[in-house]
Amino acid sequence: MKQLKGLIAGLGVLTLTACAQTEMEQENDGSNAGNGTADENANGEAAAESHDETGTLTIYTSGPGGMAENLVEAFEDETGIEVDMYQGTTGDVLGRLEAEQGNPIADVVVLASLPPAMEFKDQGMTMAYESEYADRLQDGWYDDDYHFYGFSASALGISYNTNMVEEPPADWSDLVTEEYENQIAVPDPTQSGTARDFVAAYINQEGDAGWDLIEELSENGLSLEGANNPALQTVISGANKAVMAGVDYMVYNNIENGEPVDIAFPESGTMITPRPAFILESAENVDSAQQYIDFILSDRGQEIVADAYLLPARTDVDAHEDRATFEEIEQLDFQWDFLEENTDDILEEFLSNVR
Amino acid sequence: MFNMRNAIQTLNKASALLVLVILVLMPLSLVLIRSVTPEGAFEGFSAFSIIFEEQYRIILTNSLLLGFGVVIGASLLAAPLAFFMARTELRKHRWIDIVLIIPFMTPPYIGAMGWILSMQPNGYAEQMFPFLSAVTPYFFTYFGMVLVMSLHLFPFIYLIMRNTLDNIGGRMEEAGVIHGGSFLYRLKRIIIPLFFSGYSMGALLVFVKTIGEFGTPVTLGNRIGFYVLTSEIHRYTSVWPLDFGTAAVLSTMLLSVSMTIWYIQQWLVSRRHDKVISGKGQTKAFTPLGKYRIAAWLYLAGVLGLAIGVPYFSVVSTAFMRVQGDGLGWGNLTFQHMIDLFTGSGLEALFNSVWLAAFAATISAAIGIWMAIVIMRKKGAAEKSMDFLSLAPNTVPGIVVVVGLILFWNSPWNPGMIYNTWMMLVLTYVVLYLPFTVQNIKAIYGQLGDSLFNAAKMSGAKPVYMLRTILIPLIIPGILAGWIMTFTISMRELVGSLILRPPNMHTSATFIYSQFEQGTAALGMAMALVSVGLTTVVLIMVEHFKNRSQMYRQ
Amino acid sequence: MDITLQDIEKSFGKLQALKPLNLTIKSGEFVSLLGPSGCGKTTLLRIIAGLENADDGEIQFGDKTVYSKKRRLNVSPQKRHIGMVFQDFALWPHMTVFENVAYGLRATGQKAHLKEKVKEALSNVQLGDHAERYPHQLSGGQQQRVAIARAIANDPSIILMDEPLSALDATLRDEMRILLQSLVKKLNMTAVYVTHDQNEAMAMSDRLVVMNQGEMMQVNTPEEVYQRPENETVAKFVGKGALINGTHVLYEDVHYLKLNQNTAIPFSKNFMGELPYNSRVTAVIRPEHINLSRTARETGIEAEVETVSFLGERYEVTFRIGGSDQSLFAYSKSKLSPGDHIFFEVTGNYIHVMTNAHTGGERHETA
Repeated sequence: MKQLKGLIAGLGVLTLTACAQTEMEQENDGSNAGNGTADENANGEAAAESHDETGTLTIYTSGPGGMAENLVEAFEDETGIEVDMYQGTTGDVLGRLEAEQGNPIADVVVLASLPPAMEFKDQGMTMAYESEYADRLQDGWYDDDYHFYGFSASALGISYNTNMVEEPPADWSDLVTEEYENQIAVPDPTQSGTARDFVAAYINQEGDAGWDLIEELSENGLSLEGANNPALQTVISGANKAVMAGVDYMVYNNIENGEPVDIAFPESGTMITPRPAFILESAENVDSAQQYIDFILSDRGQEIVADAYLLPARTDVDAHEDRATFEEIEQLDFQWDFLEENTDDILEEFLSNVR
Repeated sequence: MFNMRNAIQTLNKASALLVLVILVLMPLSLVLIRSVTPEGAFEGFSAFSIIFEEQYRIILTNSLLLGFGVVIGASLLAAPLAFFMARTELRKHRWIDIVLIIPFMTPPYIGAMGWILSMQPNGYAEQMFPFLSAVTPYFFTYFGMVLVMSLHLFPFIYLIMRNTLDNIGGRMEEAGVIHGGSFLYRLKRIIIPLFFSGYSMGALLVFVKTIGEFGTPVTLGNRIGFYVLTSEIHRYTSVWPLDFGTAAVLSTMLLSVSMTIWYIQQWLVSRRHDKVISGKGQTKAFTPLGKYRIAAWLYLAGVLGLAIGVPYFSVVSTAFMRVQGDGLGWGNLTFQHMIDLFTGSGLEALFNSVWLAAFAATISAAIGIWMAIVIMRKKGAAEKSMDFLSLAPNTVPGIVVVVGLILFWNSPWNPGMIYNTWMMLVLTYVVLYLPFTVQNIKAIYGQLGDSLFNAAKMSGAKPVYMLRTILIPLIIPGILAGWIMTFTISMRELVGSLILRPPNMHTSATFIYSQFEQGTAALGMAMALVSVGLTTVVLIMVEHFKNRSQMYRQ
Repeated sequence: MDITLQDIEKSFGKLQALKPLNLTIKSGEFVSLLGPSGCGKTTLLRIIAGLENADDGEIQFGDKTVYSKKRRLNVSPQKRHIGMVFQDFALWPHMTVFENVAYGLRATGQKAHLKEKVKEALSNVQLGDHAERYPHQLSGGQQQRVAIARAIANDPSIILMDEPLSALDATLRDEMRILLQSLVKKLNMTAVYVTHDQNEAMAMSDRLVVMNQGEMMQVNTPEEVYQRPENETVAKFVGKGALINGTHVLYEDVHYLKLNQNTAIPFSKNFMGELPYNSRVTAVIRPEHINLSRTARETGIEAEVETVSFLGERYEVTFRIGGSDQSLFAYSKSKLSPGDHIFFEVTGNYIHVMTNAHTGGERHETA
């Protein structure tokens, strides 16, 4: 038995050593490429090929599924640059970025809501790049210093079940009526960044009076239903008649699938949340990353955005014909600065009202 | 000779310990370190003062309430089944054991989602039986969560209860009868005490699994506002603004709760010296039910109906429904989602899951054999700590392990470039499920007498030859049981896969999750169905292989 | 092949399992290690096998040293080329009888004539037609035969047996004992046999090694050990018979064991060593040397029956010697009842007076 243990130990050690070696080698390769000093080495071939890049552009993107893939595919076709894509929810993406702080891997990040991008910029974690398309974008969708670009956007509205609701709600206040009692929901702002921003923006516009509506909704049985899609699913399946502050493109997708659902944009104004894309300061493939930013703002990229029922950022590109246009949607009057400052407090008060 | 053998032995032990330190100890320690150094510098234990904030106290209480509730729920579900399968006519039907594992193979979030789809207003339950609308609201409470999680975890406690009952041989009870004990007295003085150590281990595992479970709290708990430690940890690691420091503190709380409960259980068991001596030569107690066995079958059917019937009805319905909003109906039937699954990216995700799980299970089995060999043959301090480390992941909630794995494998000083590759997923599965393999192999190994190996030595067998011809063939059942366990759970592992999967890679579980989060629920359910079906097929195949390798016993 | 043990000792923690001992077992000899459980006999066997390492000392097989603490030499059990039979048979459940027996040959790469060798080993234990069965399909006796066949298949010159018959029932045990005995002689193996059953040991062995508390008490032929136990422990453990205490006196050239003022039992001098007169001694009287009668004779000593047990061919009787509180036991052809008054005498004055009344003393090998 003793010798037997010994043998296995030997194998274990061998494997460990072998692993350790390859890892070391890889690390060396990585740092050479990253520093761009590889030319000085005898290792000229590898250096020539990678230039100052690892050769593969790494994108962390928070969907929507389908569009993210289409964009990457088209980008690869057009430029020949290979892309590694991690696609998840905004939370998944942010979680990974945080976890990888010590050793960042992503080059380009695409999120579903603006505040994290602003925070990243404030912390100096983003890289400025002035795209040729910048002047053709909607005002306020991109950073004045060109650190991030809201290349697409979704509007929040009231999604309702067409089998159960005859008269589409015209405004938020319609949801306080008896018709919606106990059958009205909102995506959980602790899970959905858009819902969270909406609540803050609404309070920004309405001031303290805004809380009256939230109290009334709460009394009418407003429930929190997870992230955006799970909340929408409760409307589709008939568990709720309507969900407020849900993102629009999911609704349009479901309409296309024949689901009994539609969306209304309230008269008193709602929020349009740009989906920012930005290059990380730590990016190793800066050139490819810049090409990607240009690509998603290009005609081809914006077309793909429109096809996914999202609002294109370029003023000269039309939205999908089946959806409400930018101009048709009444917007809330709010300041991103206000949101950055007050969202936490507002969220807390909101939760204490609704939970 | 002296030196060589000792040196190799020491080296072997040291490297086994090293592997465990790297796999288990380092990640867990980093969680602790991170929670006291949120900004990189030691800030004392003030971070833990959040425990006293009401918000977190409620969350901690919720976790504990849920844990105890599920232990009670799962025990109540499992006890009659364990009795039927250990002591009555039903024990002939071994297939029941496989069917009873299906709830455990079902991803918890799928189970929860299935229940939600059935029980929600206008859900499947109300569509079929409108009168149920009076009952369904009660599902969206604490009791609903306990029910769903109990139904998921009861197989665990069932298997342990049944084995313990099997091992309490008939003789001990007969002795009790002869000495004039009434049934109640026997129950109190013989069965319950003997039952205790086995049961308490099962209850402990269920408790830890419950408070460490993440799927059900995120799907059902968040919906009804029942927040627990895991769902909060998930929130702090994935919802803006992220707060890894708080997540680490909450992880440490979770860890401490698990460890405390584990310690209490060990203490309770060690105080009693009623180790059940090996079952060999014992008569098996048999309590024929006679005509009452119809009641036993009905009970079994009832439990299976709740544990498998309800959730899978929802899963199947959703997977084959064209328009979700139109509800149940033959006209609404479609195979489109299945076709989409096999023609789209789903197939690749499924394939990924299969090979990752198989790979992880195989590595686990190999490490498990190694650990079992090192741990079994000596009982020094090193062996004891290895024993503990190899079990630790089982007493620690999965999400804590995952946070630790990120902190360790992605730290700048870690030379391992595993992070962000598929190897990280394999590693995660191995760490999470190593205890199952080690436990299974140890259990079988422990039954083998030393003389079997001494006989081989005396026959001139060299160590490797002995390993190949004696040890491995004899512990094959344990290896296979550990393998299938690891494979099954890796196939549906969510929390680690979600956070640690590399770019361009989906597993079946993350595919399902992302369908629910961003895509089509029906496609997610179709994947769940295929994935569980595939797991069942593998399970049956391995079970068959296991039986064949055990032919010599018949 | 001779087995020579020199200054072998072994401790487990604080417990000294074997005190330093020396023993030589001659080639072809059948030696039993006999003693109560915990006496160290199994430890000694395992040390010979190499399954346990002695703390000190040296072991030689023939002129080859297999273990030497001083020379830091330790031949692994695999290379000692020993056959071994275990108490619990230790058959590998996943192999057929044939594979079990063939194992040693395969493990050591002796592929030539494998089938013949296995067949021969199996026929030696009269199990020729069970080769394809699995162990659990065999009876206990058959299983032990397989274990024996496995031990001899490699053609070892030394065979070690660790209580091989203790798991079998009484009738099987006798049968197996005879088989083992003849097999060991036939194959001319040197055998070391561990047992706590004195009958087994006496019946099979050329020599006995009686052990107690890690020490060898006496090493000699079964007859010598039986008739002349060197101390109380050996006397108690080997053979039946009562121990009695008395004073050694010489009266008219006859040695007597004087129990008290009125009672003295004569014994012949060849059953004792050099003993001072008038000293307290312990003696053993075997029951077969005691004659009982209901009527008084000249040399008879009066006694009172205490218990009677029926053994089939005779009765076993314990009785108290008149005028003392010491008891003896003996056999009787006729039935007696407790309370009966009887007379006893010791035939041929067969009383063994032990020179070494108590257990102690370093007792090394004398043969």
